[in-house]
Amino acid sequence: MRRIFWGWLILFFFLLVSLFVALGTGPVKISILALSPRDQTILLHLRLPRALSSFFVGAGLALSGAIFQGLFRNPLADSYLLGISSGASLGAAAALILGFTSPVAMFTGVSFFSFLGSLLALSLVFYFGSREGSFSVFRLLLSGLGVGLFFSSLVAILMIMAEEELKALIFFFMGGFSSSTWDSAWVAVTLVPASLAIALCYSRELNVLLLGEETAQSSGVNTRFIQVTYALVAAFLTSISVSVAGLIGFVGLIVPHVVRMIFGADHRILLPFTFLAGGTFLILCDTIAKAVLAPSELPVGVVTSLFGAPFFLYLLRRERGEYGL
Amino acid sequence: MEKSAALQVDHVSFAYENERVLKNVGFSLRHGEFMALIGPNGSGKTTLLKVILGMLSPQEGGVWLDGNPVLAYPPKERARRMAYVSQQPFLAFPLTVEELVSLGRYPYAPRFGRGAGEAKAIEDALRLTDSFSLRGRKFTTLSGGERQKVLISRALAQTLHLLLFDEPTVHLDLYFQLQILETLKRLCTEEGATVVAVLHDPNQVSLFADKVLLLRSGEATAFGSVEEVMNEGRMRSAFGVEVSAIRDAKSEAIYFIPRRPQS
Amino acid sequence: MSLPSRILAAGVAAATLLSLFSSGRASSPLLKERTFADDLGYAVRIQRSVKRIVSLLPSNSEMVCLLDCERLKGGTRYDRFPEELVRRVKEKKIEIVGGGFDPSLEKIVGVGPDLILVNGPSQQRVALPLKRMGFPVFSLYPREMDGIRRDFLILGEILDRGEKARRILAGVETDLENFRRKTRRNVKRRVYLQTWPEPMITVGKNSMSQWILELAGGINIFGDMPFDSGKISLEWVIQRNPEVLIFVDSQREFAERIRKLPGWREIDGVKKNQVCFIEAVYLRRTVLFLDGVKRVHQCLFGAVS
Repeated sequence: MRRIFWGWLILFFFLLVSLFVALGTGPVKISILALSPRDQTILLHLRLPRALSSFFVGAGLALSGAIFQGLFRNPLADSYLLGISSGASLGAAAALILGFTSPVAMFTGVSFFSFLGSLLALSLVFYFGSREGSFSVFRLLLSGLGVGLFFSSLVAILMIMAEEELKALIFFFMGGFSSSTWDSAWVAVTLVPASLAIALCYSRELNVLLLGEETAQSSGVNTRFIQVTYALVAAFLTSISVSVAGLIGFVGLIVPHVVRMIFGADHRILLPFTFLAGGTFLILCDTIAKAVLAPSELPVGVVTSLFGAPFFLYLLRRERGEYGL
Repeated sequence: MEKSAALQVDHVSFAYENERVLKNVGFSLRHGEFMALIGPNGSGKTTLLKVILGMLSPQEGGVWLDGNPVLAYPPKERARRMAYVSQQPFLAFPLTVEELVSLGRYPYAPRFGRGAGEAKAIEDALRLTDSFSLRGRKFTTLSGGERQKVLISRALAQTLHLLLFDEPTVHLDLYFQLQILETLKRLCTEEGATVVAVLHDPNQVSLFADKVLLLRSGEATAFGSVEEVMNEGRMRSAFGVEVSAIRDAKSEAIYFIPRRPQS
Repeated sequence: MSLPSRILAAGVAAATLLSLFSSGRASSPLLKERTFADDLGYAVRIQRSVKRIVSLLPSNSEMVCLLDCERLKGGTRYDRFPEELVRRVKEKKIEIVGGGFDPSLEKIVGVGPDLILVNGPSQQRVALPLKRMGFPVFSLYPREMDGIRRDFLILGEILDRGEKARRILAGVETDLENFRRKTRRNVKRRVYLQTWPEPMITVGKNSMSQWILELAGGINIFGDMPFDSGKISLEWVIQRNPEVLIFVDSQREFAERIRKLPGWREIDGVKKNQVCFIEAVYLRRTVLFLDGVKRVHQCLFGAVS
């Protein structure tokens, strides 16, 4: 119990520090004491939505990774299962090449189509992964592989056909928050916490599911409902993230692991902590991304891997017998 | 149907798609009885367990639990009366023993927070299998026998009414095999639990079971006490092996010595 | 001498003679082949009278066509200049062999080329098999500004149109001098050139676009960025406060929107409505870059007579 209390405290502390650093980093020197109108604009309309975007995207990716790991009972699961990254890529490529780049509702054109693409992939995955109305996570996984591969090949075709837009497409794939404004941030800021709320409701059931579907059913869990709900929530979270910020790898795979190593596998604790940790991590990475190559930026995904991977490997070395490995 | 029966299986037939797995299986158990479910591989034992649990719906016949059809209970209520331990799962994540056993309290827990008496129930369940000292350990660091005891504790935390075990002694050394079966037996005699366990070793059956159900190709070939069901002829026809049944003069228990197959 | 040593001596002598004939750029009219060093450093033997050229890079297609369009028999689907090239493609006198990434080996071979022009490392995947099949493959991909002039001259040599090449270049030089004279008094203006809206992408050091910008009298506010093109954030543009904003190609809608967006409004160029649109073709790599320069100048200062 004490560990959890301290955990919250320390995580929140890190979050505040990261926010502060993120808001304070940028080409324009801003001092809190003397805010010109231009400084205010930059803080409120550029840096703040960017920081919030990166927080909620990171939180969403980490949470979705944690959910997939619990659902598939597999520590190697990450946010991009179920063909989502391929679907999102296809949507983005199609939008770029067909010229649908004007904004739609809260999204930019590319984001909107990227989102649609991932939803399309998801529905296909569920359609092919079910038989006579029943799913098994294993079948969903295979279906995700198949759909993902198919969509990836479509993306490859589009990329060949459109060499001129290729550069923009590559930048999209590499991920980043450089164009972040309130327009693009609203999506993440509203939809991601809503998904978290749903995810928290059934974390106890997700725990029981860790024992296996049969045991969970015999405990009174409606496994089908839980699995479908969580798969949809996780996929939705990933879709939002990709459409806002492109493909950012590593967060969904590693952050849940680190949190699990420190706080255990109980999802009632794991999920909210992963949320917070993933968000904080991505704020930090984005800040590094925008500071290192100024005026240009590193893709955020590169930073997450560069800094996250060695840390994770170090933790892995220290822990013994955690996974029975 | 017998009102006093804890569990009654009545003319149950079940088929997967077009394959008939269970044919007209029936038996009834009273509270506190230990029944061994035996039969060759593929005879439908696991399917029968799932039908009893209400996870599968039989095409014919039905299962009655405490006098009511099993499917009439809502899932959580069913879970408060029946618990199931399948063959050891591969647990991918480092749950502690205590966390794992607490999963058995799911049918009683409110949506958020801990239920009243949850901690006590977990403690009691651990003590019943003599595993209380393991409660802070990570499940993945336990030996095979310890793991099985913890998994049983989880089921005990769920209920002490009807317990179903699918091969509870597989992969365990002799000491743990006997210890676990002894624990189950004591649950029957001291706590009034009804136990159905799939067992492969005829000697374990002989030592611990009150009743035996012999399944062969989905049919209940025999049901009754150990003496009634397990004799040399039945073993030969059901399993295709030759055994010698020997009664131990001192304990009156029957032992089955398998003979090597004739080349 | 023993027999093996005699054979060895004869071989050495023959090799020496052969190398004398094939090294360097011997330009005796009797020689049917010459050797040129391409941009990757390979020494390529090319026939004296090259008649059927396939180009896998739009800038090379353009250069060949400027020198002698009839000899261009194969190009990419992205070739747009000059007009004569486009016309010849329509008349099917030039075969489209694919794009830059995926040219069709079959189509290339089908044209029956005696010279294939490729770009650098990225087309080696097709270059190597073609070389193995015996075709002369010449890598020509200018990276700096001087490279364009140099490559144009080399191509002139290869096609025996050296005079024409020099003439065209001289013409461009003269026009450039005139242009410089007329625009000498302009005060340089700080420019932000955006090639893509989402994510925002601009041009950097050593890019063709920046060179054209500077010739036209502009200062690329991201001239210190060490890449040809890179991702940028709005905050940087605000901080560097350009006087003029140039959007490449179809970003009109985006440009419309930015007038009302916070952040963009802070920029001088937006406040004073110094926003300009320019087609990407003006910024392409070509010896006829002056068109692009004039177009950009128009954006910065108004038309030049």
